[in-house]
Amino acid sequence: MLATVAIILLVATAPAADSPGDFEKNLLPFLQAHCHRCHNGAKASGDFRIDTLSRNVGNENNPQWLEVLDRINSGEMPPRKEPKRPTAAESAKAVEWIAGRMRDGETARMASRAKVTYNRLTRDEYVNTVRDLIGVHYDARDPGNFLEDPEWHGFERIGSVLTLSPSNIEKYIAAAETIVNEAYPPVPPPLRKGQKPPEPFGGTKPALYEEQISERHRERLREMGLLDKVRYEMWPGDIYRYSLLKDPLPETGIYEVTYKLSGLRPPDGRAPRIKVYEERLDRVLFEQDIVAPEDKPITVTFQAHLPKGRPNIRVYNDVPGPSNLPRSGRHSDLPFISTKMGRAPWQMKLTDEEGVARYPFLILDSVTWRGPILSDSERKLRADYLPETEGDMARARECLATLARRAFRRPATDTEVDGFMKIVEGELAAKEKFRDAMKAGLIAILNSKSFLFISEGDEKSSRFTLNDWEIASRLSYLLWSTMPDEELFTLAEQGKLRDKSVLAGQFKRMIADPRARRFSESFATQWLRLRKVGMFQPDKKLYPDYDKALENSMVSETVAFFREVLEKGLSLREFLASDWSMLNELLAKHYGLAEAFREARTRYGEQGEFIRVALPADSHRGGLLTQASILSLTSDGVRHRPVHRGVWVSEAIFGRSPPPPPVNVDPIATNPAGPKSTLRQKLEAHVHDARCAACHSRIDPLGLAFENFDAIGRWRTEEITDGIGANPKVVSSGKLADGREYRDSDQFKRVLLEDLDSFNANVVEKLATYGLRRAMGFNDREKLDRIAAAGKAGGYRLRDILEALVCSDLFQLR
Amino acid sequence: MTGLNFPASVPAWCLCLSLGASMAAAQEQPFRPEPGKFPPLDKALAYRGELVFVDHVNRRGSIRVEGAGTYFRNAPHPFAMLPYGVVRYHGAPAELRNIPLGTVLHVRGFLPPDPKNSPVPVFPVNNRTKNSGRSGAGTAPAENHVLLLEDEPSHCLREGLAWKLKEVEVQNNEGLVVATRASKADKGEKPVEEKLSFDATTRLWRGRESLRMDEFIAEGGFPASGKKSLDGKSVLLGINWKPTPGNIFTRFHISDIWLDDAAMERASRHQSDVHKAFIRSRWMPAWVDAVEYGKFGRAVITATLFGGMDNSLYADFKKGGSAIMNSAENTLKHTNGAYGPAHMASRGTLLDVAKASGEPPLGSSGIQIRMETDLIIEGIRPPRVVRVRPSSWAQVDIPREEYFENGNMDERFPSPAIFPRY
Repeated sequence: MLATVAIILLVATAPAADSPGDFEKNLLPFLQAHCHRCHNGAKASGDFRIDTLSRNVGNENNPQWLEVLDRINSGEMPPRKEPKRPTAAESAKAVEWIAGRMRDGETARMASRAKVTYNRLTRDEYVNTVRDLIGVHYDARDPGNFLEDPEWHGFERIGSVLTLSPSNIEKYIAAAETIVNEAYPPVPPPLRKGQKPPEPFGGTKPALYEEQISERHRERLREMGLLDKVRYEMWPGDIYRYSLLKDPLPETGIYEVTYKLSGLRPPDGRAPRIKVYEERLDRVLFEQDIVAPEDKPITVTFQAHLPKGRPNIRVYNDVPGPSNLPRSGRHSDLPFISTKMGRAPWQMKLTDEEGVARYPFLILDSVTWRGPILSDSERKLRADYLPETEGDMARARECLATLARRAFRRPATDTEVDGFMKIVEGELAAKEKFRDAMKAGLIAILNSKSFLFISEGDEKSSRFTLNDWEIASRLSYLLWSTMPDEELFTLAEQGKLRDKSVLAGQFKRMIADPRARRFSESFATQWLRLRKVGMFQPDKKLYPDYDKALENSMVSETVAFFREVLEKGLSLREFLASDWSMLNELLAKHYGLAEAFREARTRYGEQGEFIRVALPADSHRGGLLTQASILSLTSDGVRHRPVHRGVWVSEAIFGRSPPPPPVNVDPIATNPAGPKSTLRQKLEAHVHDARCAACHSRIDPLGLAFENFDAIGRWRTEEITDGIGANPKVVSSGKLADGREYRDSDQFKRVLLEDLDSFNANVVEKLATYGLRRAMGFNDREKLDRIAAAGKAGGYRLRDILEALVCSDLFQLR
Repeated sequence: MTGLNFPASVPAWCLCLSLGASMAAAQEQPFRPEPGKFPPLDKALAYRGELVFVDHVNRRGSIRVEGAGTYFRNAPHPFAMLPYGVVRYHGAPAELRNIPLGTVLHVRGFLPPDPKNSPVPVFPVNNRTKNSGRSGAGTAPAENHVLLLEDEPSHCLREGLAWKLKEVEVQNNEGLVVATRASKADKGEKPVEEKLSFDATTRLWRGRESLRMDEFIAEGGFPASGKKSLDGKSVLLGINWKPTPGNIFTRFHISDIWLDDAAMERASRHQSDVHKAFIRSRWMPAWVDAVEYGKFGRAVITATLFGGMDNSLYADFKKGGSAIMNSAENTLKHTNGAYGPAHMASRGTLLDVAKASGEPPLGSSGIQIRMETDLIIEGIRPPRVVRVRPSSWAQVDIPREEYFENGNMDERFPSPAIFPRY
């Protein structure tokens, strides 16, 4: 008996600092010593009684307990005049315990499960699901379409947080109509006798049509045989407005656009960057750095979902450069043939006497269009849902049942299909055309709760394990952010998905699929809070070299890094400290690693925009913590914020959220150390004032290790501060709460590496939160530990940890 | 041919041929002015002729060149000023537009620097030796790209020559004069003698006075009628051409007589003022020697200002002052001026203004400026021509025909097709 109790107690000890339950042991002594004397029935100071508050802290009397927490945290209570006041450490302990119980209560409420839990699809999951369901791409991220998904501690797919509001419903209905209309556009009338079918859309156009070339040069160039060699030069900031063919786009759909162009870069300068932007949709369709010699242009191809008609496409050379106003940044009548033949004498000088570029500029040759792109499988999908013959009601029912089964990710009941058939019949009774009536039925299916929500559980029974269909959905939404494919559906139908060996096989198949990139991008972004990069735009005067391209590169580095660790079977150690990273040219320059990047490119022949670069020993980079994205999302656009960095490390690496700061706390007094003091010096009060140090001694050291990195993640040895005189040197050493010291960020990473188990546990919890779409509570602790142990046995490899999650008991439980 | 041992079987005429061939080989590369270098004056062909047609905006025109045959039959011969070519009129710097048609000019010309791109017709290299119809040889020289174009008084003032009137024959306010031209400093050479006509259109200048021919005769400068020997007073003559009777091959006409230095100075002073005003409004021409680049569009441009102008113009270029530089073509036309020539030009500061020691070659001022600009334009690259304005000169708009827009090829590279072929 005692042994069991001991085991339960042992198991119950979570890696987190707070110990659960046991009000009597953890808080009562403190309250009795410092609070009950005044806040009891006899005195009831301030009309506030503490002795009668519920002991179920975190679940009952929450507003009152929050009040207690705040007052103790701010040092207001017990009042200063009390003779026997608690020490700062004792107060901190009480505050942490209450805060921890609050959190537990919150998690429990969030994780509390009714008979059926409904987890709404996120924006991206909706888009992917619709694409796989009916072959239509819906631009959910366009302004005016879907709202951003609300996040909880960075995670955007928590079922209890993704609530449904009237505006969501309006948008779903509008989206469903758009999608169904695109899948089934109006049928063109049959051709009349002798009428030729319209020309298929597509083709290539030169940079400038003949009519666009100035008359006075057209004939001259024709005689010289150069009329078809006219190109379009684009200096920094220039705009090209002629991407469209003469024919409009015949229908809404996905089109493939190819640009043929050269890009010249100045020595030691940036490469020119093509950015294709659609004005009306306010969407960037494509952007990429281009480096190609003048006589050897390259082609870049991309696909874009565009509306029917004539989209307003603008191509920019999106690099910083001199202003185009008011003078030489204009195209002249003189058509551009080559840099050798030259431009008009009054234009901005693009090349010097040797033909070397002075600015990064593009030379556009031609634009090719192809589309609308519809694969055979997508065409077949659409054909499955609409009967070929008008009025074929039996087939109509079949179509609706097929769509419902796929959309609901489980077999649809007869009652459900009947309901949708009634809608179709009702439309037909109202004299709608057959095709439109069917579309109404399809729209209804797309707005069904069973489509928009991933549901788990049974109304009729109290089921806490998932059935096969639910496992299939969970697995596909985890790894591919989309609905299960046919193979998963088949296995679910055969009832094989509860078999862990089958799950392992499916995991291997799915992780190797290109769609698994969605997992890397989505999970890394949510776990590491990458949405916050650029939330505070860096000040243009302090950081003139920061632009959107650099910001995107920072985020892409972290996502690519995560993906590399996952795909190459690397261990969690790489997240903390690595001797490599995934860089593109812009970011390599930002880090001062241009040489290493060039080596990786030329010597090792790495291809693609982001390549794996071996970091030199003194680069101070490596791992997630010193990546520019992390360092700048924790800054405020003007300066770095060590406390925020500490909080980030605490949450992302250790899974611990510090208790909230006290309300109405006085600002820290200006440090008399001197006018040119570093931020760290100004935060000295955090260390010396006992009330602050109670929490901050645990938070600050985690952030102060990165003092050598400025607000946008650049390495520095001095901190630029106000005032006259030399800038003070940065100090990045410190001591963790458990006493371990570190000299700088490199050593800090090594210190973290010593405690891989707690990092492992945190990663497991984050993966589980992501995969199960709910917060992890106390009851999950044991199962999470087992997954962590399995991961540890595999050498902490990320891929193995993910596989362990998929094959765990937890994965098959609600 | 002593010392050369040839086998007796080789005929002597073979040797002459081979010698001639090697001489011809030496002549296969005739001298042409090179871009970026001022050509030496002594390599130019000198000839004299009457200004018949002027396309002042493109700095070209036609001259009827004097030859051995009958003058009136000599077809007007197209010429173009080199970009740094100097025009002088009345002893002062001038532009083609200042010279009245009919004025006889002394020409120093070169072969076209770029025969493929010439604003005037290109003739065979040895055309000066060829006959042109009944005009005799030398009336259509291929050397029609001109470094120096000066009227008679400018030529005399520059070379230190003067005319002496020897004999006059008068009838009715018109007649003939026999005059000799020799250097003022007696060098012992034989003076050039020429018979020139005069009439009521001839102007006489003395001090601040302007005299008509009848007034000059009335005060006794010339006899009222008949022949008379004159005391050979030193004067300066302005020479042009008026049609002559049938049996005269070549005889020129006197347009002006400057009787003293003061009068000549007055005329020079006026022409100088006209030219200064012109340059200040159209900017100083120069060519680019070198460009050093900085970040983005910054550059330091080194340019040599063209010569032959009044010193006060050059003095306006001061180190540390600001200036604007616009690109131009070889015709010195601004490459853009729709909103004034400064609109597209590169602005900056003059880092340095350096005058080379010694006498600069004709066409060059010897002054090299270094200008730093924040945005350099395409046309500013060596060895192209530019136009520069120091900040002390007012900013004015120039007329449409003196700039071009949008790289119109005909304007940038004027076609020689406008010149009729006689």
